Amino acid sequence: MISCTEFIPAYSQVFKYLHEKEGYAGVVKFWEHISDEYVEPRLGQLIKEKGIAGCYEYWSKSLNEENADFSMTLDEEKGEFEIVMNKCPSKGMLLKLDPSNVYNDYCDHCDLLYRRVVEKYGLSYYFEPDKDNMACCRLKVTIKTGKAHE
Amino acid sequence: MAKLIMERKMGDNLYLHKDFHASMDIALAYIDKRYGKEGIEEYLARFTDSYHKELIGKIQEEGLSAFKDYLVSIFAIEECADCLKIMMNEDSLHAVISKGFYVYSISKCGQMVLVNVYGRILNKSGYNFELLFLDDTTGACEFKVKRIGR
Repeated sequence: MISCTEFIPAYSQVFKYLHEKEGYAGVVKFWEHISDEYVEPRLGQLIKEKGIAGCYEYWSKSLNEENADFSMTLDEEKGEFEIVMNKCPSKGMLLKLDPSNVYNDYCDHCDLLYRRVVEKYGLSYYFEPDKDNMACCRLKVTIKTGKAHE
Repeated sequence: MAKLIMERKMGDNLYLHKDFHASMDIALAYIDKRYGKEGIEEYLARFTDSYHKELIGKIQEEGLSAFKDYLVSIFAIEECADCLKIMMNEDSLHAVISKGFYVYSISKCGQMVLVNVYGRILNKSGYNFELLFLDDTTGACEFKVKRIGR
């Protein structure tokens, strides 16, 4: 059995394995599969039931269980949900591991996995990835008003 | 209209996100679909060789007590400490697991994970790994480990 505390290197190695076999496009195909099979039944169903508040409920569980350092805001009046990740536990773990465990484009999955579900329900998704290996990122979900968010 | 704010620092929570197991299961099923059992074996070998390099070195140096400590620690993290019983002497170890902390119900590859992760860690450390029993429905299993050549 692979412990859930070993999941990040195990998952990263899946990306590396698929990249070697199929290139980046193959990894993207896998992320789409994970988004459909794992994220949609969880995050998707919450958004379907509760709208943008479903994002808050979904990430409340996962980010707390992952012991992340973050600030998360839901403003239903403005139609905004935002996560400011001060220290991503997954990226933080990868940065400490031997490079043989690390898929260099690891963070890209956070953009694709959630965007695919969030946009399906008519919301906008903005993702600002980690820069310079600081394990910091930001994502924002907004109710579409015709105006792009920053 | 709710306005909710949540802020957490690393260490506020315990790192235990059991949903990771489901993602891993989906990933293994995906590799199986595209590359068959050989693909899963190849992937698990890469994961084990990269991630468990340190543990393998420790077992080579310190013997089976290092593997015992590893098992005890992951079962404790997974809140399943009471499911693990280990009988051990200098050159052999006998583990009885009454319930797995996850059952690979999508990929159905519980046996492959045990053999290609635990088995490989031990083989590379100079020990034989023999899986005596596995119940695919509960993850209960039993295995014996003996130093090669004894």
